[in-house]
Amino acid sequence: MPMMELQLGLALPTSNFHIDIPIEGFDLNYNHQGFVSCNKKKKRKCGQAFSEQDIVTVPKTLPLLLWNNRKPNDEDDESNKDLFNNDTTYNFIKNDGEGDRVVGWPPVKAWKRRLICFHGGGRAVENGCSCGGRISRFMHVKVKMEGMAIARKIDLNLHTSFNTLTHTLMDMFGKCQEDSLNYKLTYQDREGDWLLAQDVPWRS
Amino acid sequence: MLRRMASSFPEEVLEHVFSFIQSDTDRNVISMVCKSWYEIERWCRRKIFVGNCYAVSPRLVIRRFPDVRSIELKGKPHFADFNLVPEGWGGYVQPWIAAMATAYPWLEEIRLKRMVITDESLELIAKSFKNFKVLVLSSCEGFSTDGLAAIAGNCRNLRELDLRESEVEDLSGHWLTHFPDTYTSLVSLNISCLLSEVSFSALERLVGRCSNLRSLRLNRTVPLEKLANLLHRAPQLAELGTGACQAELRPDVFSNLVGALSGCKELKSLSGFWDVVPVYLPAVYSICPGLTTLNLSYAAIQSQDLIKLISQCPNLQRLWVLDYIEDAGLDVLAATCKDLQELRVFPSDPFGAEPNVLLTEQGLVTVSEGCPKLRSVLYFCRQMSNAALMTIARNQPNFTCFRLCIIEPRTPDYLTLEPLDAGFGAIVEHCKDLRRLSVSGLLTDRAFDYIGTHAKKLEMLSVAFAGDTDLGLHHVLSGCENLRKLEIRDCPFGDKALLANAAKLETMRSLWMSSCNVSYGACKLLGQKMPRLNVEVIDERGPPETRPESCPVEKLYIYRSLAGPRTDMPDFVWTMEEDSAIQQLS
Repeated sequence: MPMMELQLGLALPTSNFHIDIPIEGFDLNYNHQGFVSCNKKKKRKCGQAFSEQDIVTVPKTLPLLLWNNRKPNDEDDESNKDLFNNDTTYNFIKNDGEGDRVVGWPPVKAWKRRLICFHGGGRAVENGCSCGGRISRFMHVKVKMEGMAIARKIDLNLHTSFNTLTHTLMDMFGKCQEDSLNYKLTYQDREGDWLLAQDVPWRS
Repeated sequence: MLRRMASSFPEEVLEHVFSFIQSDTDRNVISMVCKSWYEIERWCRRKIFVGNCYAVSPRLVIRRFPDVRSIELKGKPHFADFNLVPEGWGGYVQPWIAAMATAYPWLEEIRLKRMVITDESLELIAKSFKNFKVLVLSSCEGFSTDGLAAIAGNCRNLRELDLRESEVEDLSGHWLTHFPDTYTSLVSLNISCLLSEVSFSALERLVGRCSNLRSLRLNRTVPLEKLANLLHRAPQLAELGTGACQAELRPDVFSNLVGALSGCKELKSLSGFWDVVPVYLPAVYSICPGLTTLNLSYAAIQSQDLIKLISQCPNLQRLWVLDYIEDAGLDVLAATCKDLQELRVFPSDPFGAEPNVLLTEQGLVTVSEGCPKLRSVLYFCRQMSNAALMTIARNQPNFTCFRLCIIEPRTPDYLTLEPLDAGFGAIVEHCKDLRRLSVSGLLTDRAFDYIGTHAKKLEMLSVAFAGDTDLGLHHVLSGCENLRKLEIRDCPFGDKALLANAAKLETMRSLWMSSCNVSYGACKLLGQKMPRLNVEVIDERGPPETRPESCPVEKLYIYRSLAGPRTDMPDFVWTMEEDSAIQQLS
């Protein structure tokens, strides 16, 4: 059996390893008490909010693209803050103390994620629905245009279609309307991927 | 006696007898009875399933089974669904198609999952297999509508084209026009994953002339007002996936739809409902009593509307829904759907910090009480308790699949703040037939002790953010006798448990570990000592040799293989070969 060969290379399990493994911290014959104490220790560890120091050597799963950990509306006045904090549409990246959201968690297929970004978390998008949250009257997003140093902010709720949105944006960035064909509207989803906005139906 | 019987039958008789045996496992067992059964069986095997395309080579498969008509192949690890497998990892089907194109001219069915298939491969399929009937591409990528056009234009006998959850490059909606006017054999069409508009007139004509069409799943771009047109042409449909339902309520559209749907007497399954406007939902009420399957996992329908809909569906066996259903909706489900076998509740806002709906453990408890035939659950929620899990386990000892995702990692029992060990322990202890389990929440090694002790039939286990030490993994690997797939992420499991159970890995299809404590040294050792295992280190930080051997690897994918190390590895994958130590020296 290959199993046997293993012990040659390693001071590892002898063939009777099921009964007793003389390796520190790996006592299969652990008793209940031992378990409890180890368990308590673990719990304290977890209480430290999964700080990086906990498992220094373990490579963390990092996001594909780093998000600056700010919600799009962070710059809004204090008076607006509450409203926006209750608007989960924009809680793209949850601030969990680690700075970055864990990739692939919760385990929702990329396919579903794509849809969720639009109707799922969208209480603001689902105008008038009765799902308990306060509905934001504003939907400010920051827009950058390639080649333009200064970003603009726009309230999506003031628009009813991609046409009016594009129209306004071209104005804002001082471009003539004919130029709009040369620009594509993209957005960053929660996974950090850049996607074409036009691929998604407009919802008002 | 068996030998005498076997030799007394002519081969043709045995072959005929074997032809009635469909299950892959049964066929495998038959082939192990004796040499002559092995020979007879391999010549008459028409259907093969390869759970990992790298576990065997096309050449070996073709040599053993010379006359295959149907093949199912799976590629990337399951965690690829959640972006954990880097782009370009592999899972290319091209070598398989190329080999089969010459070896299996009578191949009729290809089903792929999580594989990369190019337009060239689709074209090769289209022109190589004269009697090609079924193409299912599930979560596949790498192809465009041009490849689909080749299939449409050449496969005269195509019965099923299913692109479920694939990523298709949408070059043109006109690929549907490539189905010739004389083509009438379509039975099932699923194009729900396509993003751009398909040629509606081509679709309409296709649906009109394929009188055996039973299943039609449209994509989001097919508007509601056109649905009635299609349904009038296909009243025989058993499964329907609608397009978007976002039009303003127009009485004529509504009444057309009601009329068309009431003509579809055989509808059993309904899905789609993208962007649904609730006022349209009553249009489907008339067919609800006949429905056994309802997939609303893309439909943002709120609890009240869902409740009205579900109370019309007493015969549901399978429900997929977003958590908008809330506990209140699950109460109604439990009271209405006594035949329910499968429930999946997906999160509408998985990344939000706060709950956006009132969905708790109580909803699942109610369903487990009210639906005696429930066998399979996938449930995303934000709070759970050991007491609830114990109740669920007692109510439903017949679970075969239990997947619970508590959205925030390491969430304890919200009532006692204890780990959820006892709750999951109850699940594995009571549900003796459990085949698939996903655990989440705060779990210590003790939970894995329970799993190893009780989950004797478990075949697939998913673990995230759980356990304390190697002992947890050791319990699972040494205890779960039937385990075939194990996937673990962000758990403090490492070398000792892995090496101590190295032989076990050969009995499994695959093991995935990412962000765990497995050192590069252990991976190398495993690769050297277990030549039949492919031990692949996936590390986007660069060659693992540049780090100390004790340094944990980012991702580890281990699988048994008859084909040896694969040859299509990208530069962020390293395989731990038998002689890698020698390679290093030279």
